[in-house]
Amino acid sequence: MRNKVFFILGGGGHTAQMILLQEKFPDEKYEKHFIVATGDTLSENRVKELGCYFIHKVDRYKETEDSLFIATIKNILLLRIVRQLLQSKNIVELMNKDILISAGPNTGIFVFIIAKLMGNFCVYVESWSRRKKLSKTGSLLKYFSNLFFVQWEDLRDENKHFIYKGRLL
Amino acid sequence: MIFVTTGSTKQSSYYTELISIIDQLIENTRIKDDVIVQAGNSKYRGGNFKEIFDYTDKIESYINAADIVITADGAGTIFSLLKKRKKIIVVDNKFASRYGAPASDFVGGFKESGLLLWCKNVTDIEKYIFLAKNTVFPEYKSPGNTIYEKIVSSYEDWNS
Repeated sequence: MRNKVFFILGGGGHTAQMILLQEKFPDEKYEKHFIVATGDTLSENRVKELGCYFIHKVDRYKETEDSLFIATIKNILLLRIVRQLLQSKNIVELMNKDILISAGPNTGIFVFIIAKLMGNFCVYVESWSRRKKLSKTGSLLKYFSNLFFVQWEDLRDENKHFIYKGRLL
Repeated sequence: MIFVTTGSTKQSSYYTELISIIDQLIENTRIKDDVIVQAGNSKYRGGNFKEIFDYTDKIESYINAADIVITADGAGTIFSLLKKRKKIIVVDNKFASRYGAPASDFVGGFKESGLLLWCKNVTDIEKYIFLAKNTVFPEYKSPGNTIYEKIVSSYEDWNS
């Protein structure tokens, strides 16, 4: 039986990195699932080009122009947070000690945390765009990661738990 | 050909200024090259460009045809330009930086390695285009990675 591996996509560079990483996972050994933000048709189309994989959708936690704080207030006030939690829970229910990988978009923060709490193997790959400073998502998800990769040696030196194994591009 | 791409950022006024300055440079024959602009949300139209459009799904073909790419876009675009050995001028995205977007976090390192040019003030763009034309950029060499191997071996240990 194939193991499942879930990739969180998040637009632009985040998606590009996950697309590169997923190529390494052979289809005969891994059943691949992709988690995309609702409305992110670019990422969705890229996955569809790869072939017949499973695609799951979650709402974005925040828009680029919002700070994390503003986004949290908006999500609570508009009850969007409930919807995001439910979407995330439904995805995590498909996992059973499987692998989840994120390259750092805020999409899927809840999926990542819930998946970790439910006993899955959660891998965080800090985006290649982060050379000296972690992203806010990375700063949070380092507490919920089985493995935490950085893609620059400068960042590895910050924390003995950060793993540097080269760069995806 | 010079290709200007602003990506999909919502902060448009900064790029409107960039595009406007380039338009003026063409008007005054300070730039004689063909210039194609992907203007995104800036809504700048007309001008002296060979082409100007919001978005295209053929962006790769424009990039392939370009001698110089002026981009304000993120890391993914910059890496793919490096791999294609394009002459890159990164225009500082002040608006994105305010929201924690990362370009300046790694662009500085590439600039030090001479892999690209970093124009921090759009009013200097003419100088950077001249520099790009007269600079031979080294090849970007990826360090490669064993991220997949590490994930699989750790997962197998964890799962056993």
